[in-house]
Formats: sequence, C-alpha cells, structure tokens
Amino acid sequence: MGLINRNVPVHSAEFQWWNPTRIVFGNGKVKDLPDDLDLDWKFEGKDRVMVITDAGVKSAGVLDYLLDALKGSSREVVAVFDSVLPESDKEQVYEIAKIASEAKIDFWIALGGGSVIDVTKMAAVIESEGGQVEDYEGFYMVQKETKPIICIPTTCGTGSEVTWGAVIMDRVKKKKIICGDYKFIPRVAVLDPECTRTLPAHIVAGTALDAMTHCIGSFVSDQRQDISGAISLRAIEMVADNIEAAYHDNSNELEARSKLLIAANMGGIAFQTALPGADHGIGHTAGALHHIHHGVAVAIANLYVMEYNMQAVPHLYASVARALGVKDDGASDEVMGRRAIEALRELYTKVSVKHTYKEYGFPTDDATIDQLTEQSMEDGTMVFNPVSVSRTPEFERLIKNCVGV
Amino acid sequence: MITYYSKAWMEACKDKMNTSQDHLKKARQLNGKWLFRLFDGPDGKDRSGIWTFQDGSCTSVEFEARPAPWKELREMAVPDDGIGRFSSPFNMMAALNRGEISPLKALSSPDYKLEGKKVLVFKMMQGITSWNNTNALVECDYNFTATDADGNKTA
Repeated sequence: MGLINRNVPVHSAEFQWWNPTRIVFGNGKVKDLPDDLDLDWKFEGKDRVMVITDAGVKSAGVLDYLLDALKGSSREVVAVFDSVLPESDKEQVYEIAKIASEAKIDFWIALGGGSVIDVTKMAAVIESEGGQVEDYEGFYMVQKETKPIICIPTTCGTGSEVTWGAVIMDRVKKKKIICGDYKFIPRVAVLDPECTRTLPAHIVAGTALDAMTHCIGSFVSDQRQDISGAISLRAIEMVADNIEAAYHDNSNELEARSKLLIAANMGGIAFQTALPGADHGIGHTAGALHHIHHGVAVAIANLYVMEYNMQAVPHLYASVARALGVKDDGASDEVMGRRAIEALRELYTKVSVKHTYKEYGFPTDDATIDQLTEQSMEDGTMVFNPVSVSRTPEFERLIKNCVGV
Repeated sequence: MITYYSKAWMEACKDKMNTSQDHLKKARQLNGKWLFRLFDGPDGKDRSGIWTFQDGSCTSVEFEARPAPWKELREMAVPDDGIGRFSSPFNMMAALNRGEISPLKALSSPDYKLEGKKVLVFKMMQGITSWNNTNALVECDYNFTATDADGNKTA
C-alpha cells in the first residue's frame, strides 16, 4: 500500500481532463515571446495586440519589459490598459472591451495577477459576444470562442493563466461573479520568474498561500480525481518548501521564485478540473464584503474549512500533512489532518499572514457575519466542497471561526 | 390554475419551451433524458418527472406520483439512459421555481442531489438554466393538500 496517499478508492466515477493552454517556462522567456508566436500557427496573421495590466506592474517596470520585447517584432501593440483595479470589476470589463473593439485587436496579452487575467478573459468575451457580465455567470454560458489570450502572470498564486474561470467583482451588489468556460481559456501562458522578481513580500505571501489553498481545496474537492490530485500534492510541497525564502528575499531567490510560479500554475491546472470548495466560497465573499487580499482571504478560510471537512476526508488531509512535511509517526488520519492545519498556521505566521479576518479589520457585527454566512452559501464554488453546505450551527460556527469571534 | 409539478404543469412547461425562440436558441445543446425526484409533497406524495430534450426542444414529459415514501423511486439507481437526475424535497424544488433560492445554493445543500453524467450536465448548463427560467414563467399553484393521479389539485 502506498505510503503517501494510501490505496484510496476512485472518487469521481467520471471526469473530463482538458488543459489546452501551452505553457512556456523560463527566466527571460518574455523576451522570446515574438519569436515564439512566429512559430505558433494559431497566431498566424494575428498582429494587433492589446496589453492589459495594472499600475503596480507598470511601476515595477514589468510592462516596459514586455513592450521592449515586442518592439520591432511583427506584433503591434495597438492598445494598452494599465490601470486594472486590485479586484477587477464589471465596469473595467466593459471599458477594456470597448477599447479593444475600437482598436480592432487580433489577440490579448494579460500581464499581471488574477485580477488582470480575469478581467482580460471577461473583456474578451464581451468584445466578441457583447452583453453583460451576468449573462455569462455560471459554467458553459459563452457561445463563441474569444480571440486568443496570452497570459503572463506577475504573481505566484492565481493559476488563472491556465484556467477556464474568471472572477469579476460587482461592486454595487458586493459580490463576485464567477464564470467558467473553455471558450476563453488562455492559449499561451508564459511563466517568466523575471516578472515576479520585484513582487513585494506581502504579495508573495498572499499569492503563494492562494496557490497553496487552490491545491488543498482541489485535492479534497468533490470533483477530485487522481490526475489533479497528483499535481496538487506536488505543488503543496513546492509552496511549503519555498514560500519563506521568496518572502524574505524574493528578488535574489530565483530558485524559490521559479518554484512558486510553477506551483501556482500547477494549482491552476489542478483546480480547473477539481474546483476548491468552501475555502474559496467564504474567501470570495469575505473579499467582496471587506477588501481582504484574495489569497489571504481563502487561506484563512481554509484553516477552518479543513476542520469542518475533517470527518469526511481525514485521509486526504493526512496526505496534505505529509506534503507539508509533517512527520508521519503512524498517527490516525484525523490526527495527521489536524497536524496539517497546525503546519499551515505555522507557515502563515512565518510569512506574517494572520489567522482570522478580524485581524484585517473585517467587521465583527452580527449583520456582517450573517451576510458573510448567507452570501458564502451562494458562491459557485460551494458546490464542490466535499461536505454539503447548508445553514447549520456547524456552518455558522465555521464562519465565526474565520472572522475570529 | 395549473398545479405545480403536475402532469399539466409539465405539459405547459414543454409548450412554453418549444414556442420560445429565446429558449430554443440558448438551449440548443440541451439533449437527452432527465429525471427529477421530488419527495414529500404537500399532498403526501413523492413525484417522478422525466423530461426528454432534442436540441433544446422538449420532446416528451412523463409524470407519476405515489404516496410517500415511494420506496422504489427513493431507492432506484441512477438510470444509465439518462443524463442527470435531480432529487430534492418538494418544498426546495418549489422554492427554486419561485426564485426564492438560487440553483447554486440548492446544489451545495445536502438536501438537493445531482447525479448522473456530471461532465455532460455541466456542459449543458446554459440549456438547463434556460429550461429552469422558462419553467418559472408558467403560472402555477403551490398551495394544495390533495391531488388526483395526474397531480392536479383537488383540495
């Protein structure tokens, strides 16, 4: 019997594995992008590109790094949108789609973290098909394939560069709209650690823990299967082994930076077939109600979601413990699973991530907690939690634990 | 008024879908046989509803109700010839049809079960959404305590 995962039964009686994104990894690979695209038949005759990014990426010089690479090539940058908000919203989707339409672009480049990549995906949908973001809420709601999207992640957490999902903020309703469709899945993902060299320490921590949570959530997902499980488990180990080094000295730690970038990508590959559950449902909602960084919000929720799910999947959390480096002394799966939670708490502390929402200023009044409880249950990822969710005392306790009351 | 989840309601939903250009456009990839099980209706019955689709058109509906608990229905395996099977208490399905709870909330609840060929179910989500939305447009009566064999309100 295997020592890492045991010989557990097949969980998903059927599944689909579909990862059409071409992944290119290497330090300095952005510089090779024009030559790379010249060799990609899918970009033949596609010359006009719009670049989407945010102010932080621009000020760090990463936008110039890309524009310099494209200068003099056969690809013409006909539009640049460099002010995507930290939590991209519907209004920006429409604004970007309009600019792209007027510029008559052939393809897109998203240079940034999850917000930049997700807003690009939805802008691509609106540009090709029109309508409102809400029209595409849910899964497989897009009719036409979008123009090709190239993603260059500048954080080490999102994984969105290889996924069929996009999360867009509705600021009026204070909720996140989740869309999933292969018709906007990125065509190419360029993983260039040079793009994450100047990432601030707290963003390294938040995004790497986002990747960690993607992997744990995917590993125990109700959609789990062995392909995504294998990928998740290795990525958990890679994040655990490298987050501290990157947090303390990201710019000089090419090795740690590279591994986090690859691990985040692996998390994306894993979770697009086995979506995480309540950790993301609660995290999405906490982020929408109070501006907690997405990675931090889901990572905090995961500490308590693991407890909530423990009775159903202790054997999986025991495997997570082993991937996190917890010594297996023959203790029961549940004991090992609880040690995984402790190991995560220690890891969070090492990278200055707190353990409750209230420590980030999240309101603790009853009305907000009630809203967090109700709205979390409406999140699209809740369906994939290994334990079904309804408004039970246990679920209410889970929410309060996340808040810290 | 038509009684909710009766044979007449299913027929009315079928007609509504088949005459809605909007539905037929959105649901053009909706195919196959779908089974619904609604338990513990206010008339003391469990219900079975079978819907069959071809390119978004609803080609047939079958209704049956028996006193709860209808053991065979509750214990039956997921049929191989169907795409998906939805099961829930009657009240939850009615709340969904009235728009009081969202499909996502229902799906994550332990009381609502989706079984079958889930990969295909998710790919047909746009059609399923249109189907639900179109059904919700059929005016119906949820308040009853007794029904006839076709599910029509008698009290």
